[in-house]
Amino acid sequence: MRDDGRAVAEAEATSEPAPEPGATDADGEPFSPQALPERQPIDRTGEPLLSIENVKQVIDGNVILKDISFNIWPGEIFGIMGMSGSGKTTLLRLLIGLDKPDEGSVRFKDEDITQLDEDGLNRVRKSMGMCFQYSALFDSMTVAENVAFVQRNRRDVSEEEKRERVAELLEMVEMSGNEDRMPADLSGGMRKRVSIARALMEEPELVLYDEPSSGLDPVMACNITGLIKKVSTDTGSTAVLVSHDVPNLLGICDRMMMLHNKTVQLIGTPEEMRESDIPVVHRFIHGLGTGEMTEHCSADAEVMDSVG
Amino acid sequence: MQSAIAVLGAQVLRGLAYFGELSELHLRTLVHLTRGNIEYRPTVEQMSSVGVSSLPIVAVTMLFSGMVFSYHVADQAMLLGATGYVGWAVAETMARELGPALTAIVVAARAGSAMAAELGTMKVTEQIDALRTMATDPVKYLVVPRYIAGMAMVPLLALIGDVIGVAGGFVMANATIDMTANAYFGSIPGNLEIWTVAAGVIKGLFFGIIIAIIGCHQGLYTEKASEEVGRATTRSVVYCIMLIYAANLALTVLLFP
Repeated sequence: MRDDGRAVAEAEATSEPAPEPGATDADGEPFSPQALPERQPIDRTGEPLLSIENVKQVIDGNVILKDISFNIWPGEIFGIMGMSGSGKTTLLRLLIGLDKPDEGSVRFKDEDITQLDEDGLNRVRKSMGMCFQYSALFDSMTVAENVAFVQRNRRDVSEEEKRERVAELLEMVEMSGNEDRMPADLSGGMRKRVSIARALMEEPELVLYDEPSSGLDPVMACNITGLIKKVSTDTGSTAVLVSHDVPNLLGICDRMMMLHNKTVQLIGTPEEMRESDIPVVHRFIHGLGTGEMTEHCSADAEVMDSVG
Repeated sequence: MQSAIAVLGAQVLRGLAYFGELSELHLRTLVHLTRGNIEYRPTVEQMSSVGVSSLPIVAVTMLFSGMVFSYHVADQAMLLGATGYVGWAVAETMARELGPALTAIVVAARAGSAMAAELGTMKVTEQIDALRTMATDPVKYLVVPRYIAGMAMVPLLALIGDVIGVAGGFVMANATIDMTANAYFGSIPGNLEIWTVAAGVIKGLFFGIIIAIIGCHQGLYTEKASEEVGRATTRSVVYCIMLIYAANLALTVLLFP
């Protein structure tokens, strides 16, 4: 399905499961529920920030993606979901130029990045940030050094300004006071937060998140996705998330895309996703299995429906 | 028969592809060097890792190698009545061959394997991809500092190893044939040519390049699986040793025609 770019009403859903009072997060910190920031409607009448046209990707002779086309507008939070092995991460890597597609174009601010050499890609990547599934923090550097890494050679920014920016970002992701700790000493959730701070150091227009809530407990997963929404709303940056975490995606995304069978099944708001009668989308959104041994999943689906 | 030829052909193709990848990595490293794209902090860290941290094991290796060599030479010199040349013989051998070659083997085992393991782990944990997303060329940030460190520190370690080996040789000559310091060290200045020492340094420089390029290549080309890091580390040591000995032959023929 092609994304026709029509304006859609802002799709604010409040599907995050509220933690129990007095609960603590994965790091043992008291959880203090905070209302997520109000998002402004996304203007989809102008030029898209990212435009993907007829992308096809083949790896080792296997077609991973085909006929992938969609647009993402500035300021949008865009979720990409799909089953394991559906090519979500492959697609994310194409968006930042880590891999080149076999066919099609990936246009960032109307420039086809598939035609750029590594120097050209490095120029474009200065407007992008990426958070990896396992955070990919540099394990020989402290938290502060990781966050400041991208500015290490900048002479136009003083050391004091760099320190202030690092402190500001660590405060934003609620990691103040951890500047001198090493990544090995951090929990999974803390690493994710540091990687978000690192991705935001150069104030990117586009931030890509690969499975931001994978490997985290539900409370921490909710905190991280809430943080992504807060960051995108506060900074005005565009966010693209790849995840299987349907409840959290439904809760923070302006629009979502379902990948299945190597191609796009549906692009729409969280409401449109919930109400879709496309079988694969319906099953994925409602957590329904396939086959005879999946009766227990329908009970989960009811719970999920009542939550979201 | 056909399948044997196919297997042989596949091996040849793999070998050619490997040398192609090494050449490309080397070329990209040289391009960064000629453009002055050098990250100073990691370069200093790598010089410390390759040089300072390898010094103890190089010192021990060269000390005992010098002692063993001197033991054999002193024994033969006694038979031939040429004990006045023991010091020179040890120094000449250290400077020409043992110093650069043994130092390179030790550094390959210690620092080359560390390069492969570190970069391989970074590859598996997506840290290399993270570098690229932050507009940082991994060759510039990771390979160039290791290349400079290998090129600078292996010759320096070889020189230090020469001195330690000669000193170890004296200890052994003194213990076995009661040779005095004057007799041992006095035979060196008049016989050992500066070119011989310089040729050893040149060998060390090439060996340092081999260690850095092979170690970094094995790391950067590690497949994304944990066990591959171990394999890449082992391969880096094996390939380094083979190439160092092959290069040693070529350099010996070129430098000592």
